[in-house]
Amino acid sequence: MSCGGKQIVTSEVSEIVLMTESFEFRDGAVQQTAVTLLAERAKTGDTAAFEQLIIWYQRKVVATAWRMLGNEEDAKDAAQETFLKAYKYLKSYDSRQDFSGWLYRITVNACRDLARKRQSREQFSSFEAEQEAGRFDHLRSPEDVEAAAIAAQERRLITEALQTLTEKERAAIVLRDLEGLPTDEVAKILGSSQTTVRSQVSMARAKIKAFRDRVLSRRKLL
Amino acid sequence: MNCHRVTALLPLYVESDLDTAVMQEVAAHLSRCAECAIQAQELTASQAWLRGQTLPDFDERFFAELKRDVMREVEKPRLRLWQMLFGQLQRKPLWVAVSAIIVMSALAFYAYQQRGQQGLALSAERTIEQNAPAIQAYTIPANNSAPPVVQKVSNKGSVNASRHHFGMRRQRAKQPLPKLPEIATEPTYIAGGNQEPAIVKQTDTTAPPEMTRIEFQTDNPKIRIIWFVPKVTETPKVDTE
Repeated sequence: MSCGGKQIVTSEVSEIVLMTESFEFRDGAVQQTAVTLLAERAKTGDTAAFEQLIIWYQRKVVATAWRMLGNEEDAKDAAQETFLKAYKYLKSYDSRQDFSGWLYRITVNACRDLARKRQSREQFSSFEAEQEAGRFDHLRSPEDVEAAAIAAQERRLITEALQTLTEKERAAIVLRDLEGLPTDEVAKILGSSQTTVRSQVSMARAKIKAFRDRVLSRRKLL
Repeated sequence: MNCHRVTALLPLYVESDLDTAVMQEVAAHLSRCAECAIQAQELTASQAWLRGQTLPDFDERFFAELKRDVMREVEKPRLRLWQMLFGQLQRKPLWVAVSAIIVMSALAFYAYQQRGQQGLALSAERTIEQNAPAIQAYTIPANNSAPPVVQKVSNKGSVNASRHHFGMRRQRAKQPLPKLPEIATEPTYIAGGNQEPAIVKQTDTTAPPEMTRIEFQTDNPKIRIIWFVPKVTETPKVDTE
């Protein structure tokens, strides 16, 4: 019977997935309903439902973690830690709250923990590191490789700029400017007031501009 | 609104993070101040540069590995303690048996030691009860005319203290104490109210031979402290050539 029960559960998960595919996933109401249904199923121990949540959110979580930490390996570890913590504390998740915000909060905390543990590690992804990881293997022409190298260089610069910020400023600007969340939601995720978030974001933008000015003046000299 | 204030607000202005009224004020200032307008343009360009950051090309293999690793941990059965022990028993019965014997031996040794300490504490208490003399307190009149009034105080306090030390105060506090030898020695009377404390040592001949009596006169002439300590026997000197 347990096997039959599992089949029923699985079919329900696939029904939820079909429901979201039939609509535009960006439709907030449909997305929220589907996520809530899956989270409720995952709470009861349905791993298929949790797997579907991973599929939907893994890109978002990895992107945030990468922007916070600056390299792929740490981003992967942080994302893994985020999903494991999410599964562990799923029982404390209230279906009325936004699952995405709840997951962002876990992601930010996981990144902070990991950053403290691995302060000694090389912090930024370089072109060479990406090349070693086989990121440019699919590129055929030398022009493509050159363009990829320039993009990697620019990526590294922006990552360096983000690393000049404090931990809280970085989290605030990543969520507000790069993830595009509204200030009140960022405040909820970071557990601080909107005024504090505005202040952190303002400071972060000014620092990033100062960093970019330095880079531009160095290029002019060269 | 002056340039200093506008410069401080620009990082929020470029992303429309200010209230409508403040936004309008800043916009009005920028329309007439070229320097601030340039700063605003630079900040806008900086924000565009930041947003232009492309993510590394995370391929499907990356996400597949991530999902696989997470799901492996999630689906890993969570064993309870007895399940883990039972599993170990099946796999390594000899090791489990040896570990169990070591743990049992350690517990037995601990229990034996506790009993030994308890017996030692009881015998120490009995020795104190038998050897301790009665403690006497003397009330001395201030004008030196009346003879000192002697009040007997039982040695319960000292015995209780010893019990308290061993953590057995409540269990044995009500048991009758053995009769102690009476001390007939007259106390040494020290006159004078405000004189320096004087220490008088005297060997009590009537007390049990192994105890020494010590009297201590406090600042208050009415209070004198007397106590007994075990006599320290001096080891004879042996001259060697």
